[in-house]
Amino acid sequence: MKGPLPCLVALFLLCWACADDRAERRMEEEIRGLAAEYAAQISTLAADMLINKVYERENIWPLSADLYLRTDKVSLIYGFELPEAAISVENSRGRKILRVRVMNPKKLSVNRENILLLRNYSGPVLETTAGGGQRTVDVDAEMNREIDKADEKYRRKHLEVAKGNLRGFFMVLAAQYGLELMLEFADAP
Amino acid sequence: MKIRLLVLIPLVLLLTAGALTLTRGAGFLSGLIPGLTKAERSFSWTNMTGLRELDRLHTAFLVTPVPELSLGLRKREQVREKISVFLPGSPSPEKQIMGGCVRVFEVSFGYERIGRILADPEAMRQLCALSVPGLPPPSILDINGVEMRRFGKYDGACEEWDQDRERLEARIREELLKHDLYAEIEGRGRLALANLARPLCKAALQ
Repeated sequence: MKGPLPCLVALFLLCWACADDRAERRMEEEIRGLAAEYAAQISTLAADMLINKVYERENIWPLSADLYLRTDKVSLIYGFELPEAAISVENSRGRKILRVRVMNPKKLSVNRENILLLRNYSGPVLETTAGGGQRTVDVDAEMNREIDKADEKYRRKHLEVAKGNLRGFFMVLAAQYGLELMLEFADAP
Repeated sequence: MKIRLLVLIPLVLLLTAGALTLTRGAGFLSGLIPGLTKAERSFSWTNMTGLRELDRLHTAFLVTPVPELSLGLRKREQVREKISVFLPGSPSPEKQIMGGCVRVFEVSFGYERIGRILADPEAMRQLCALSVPGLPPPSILDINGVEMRRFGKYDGACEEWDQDRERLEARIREELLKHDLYAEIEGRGRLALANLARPLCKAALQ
């Protein structure tokens, strides 16, 4: 075991391992770059709703009600925040892994816009109640309640769809780089 | 002592390097060859066959009412119309909404069997050669009727769902076009498709 040979072999193997590490870091940088460029749009899902409200009341003319018809366009945006540090390329027992750790998706914003208003009378919006009386309706408040109800009803589905799309995107990247994908969704701390 | 140290140090180094090589796997030379990244070296369309399991790319979800309206003259307009017969030149009253039927649908848009397209080099070459506006638009993946309500004086049938898928799709599209929503959904879908496919375009166009 004398002589410079063991030292040279050891040095060579060390360089080899370091070079491999450098290649992995380079690959990681490339993947992070691609994710920064393309994942933002994939990782959000816009759920649009046309919320429609109709109010009617009898007027003094029999058989011709006063009608109020309104439609608002509402966009609920669900998605991920995707920090660069969430993406890493790792080597575990000979398996090359693309590890992506992201926080679970959440509702990012709500946009609302009135797109249709048809009414055949002026003045406050009135509704005939079940008892035959009339009450004034706050249409905006009613619309907001509808949005909350829709968010509650569809949130889980939207978040699953957003997760599926993000998984698809990283599957493409992992396949392209010959990596195994490990995608983890974690709850926000 | 000095000789032992000379043997021991390389041995420790050798073991460390061995351990590193074992944990990092094979394929180290790529890092030593300048200009050749591992990504370029390892890319092959055969890697992409696993993507076939990717089924759908959802690009939009929409809850939309589709109203059918009955138009007619209300009583006061009918009276006005009768009076206008005796007053030549007076404008005839406009028809008003008398009632309607609103059916509410859940509609999802996107691309079917997206994995097959991504795994097919020829399809990808075609896809990558197109600009975003030239990409195929998303299609309607699912339609689900969730609610129907009648209001005012409506003579049509409101209690049935249209079972003709093509007619229903056309009616939903018409409603979305009316509210400038269709172009937005199409644009968003095309952009999502482009963003999913673009990372593969460099390889596809080579």
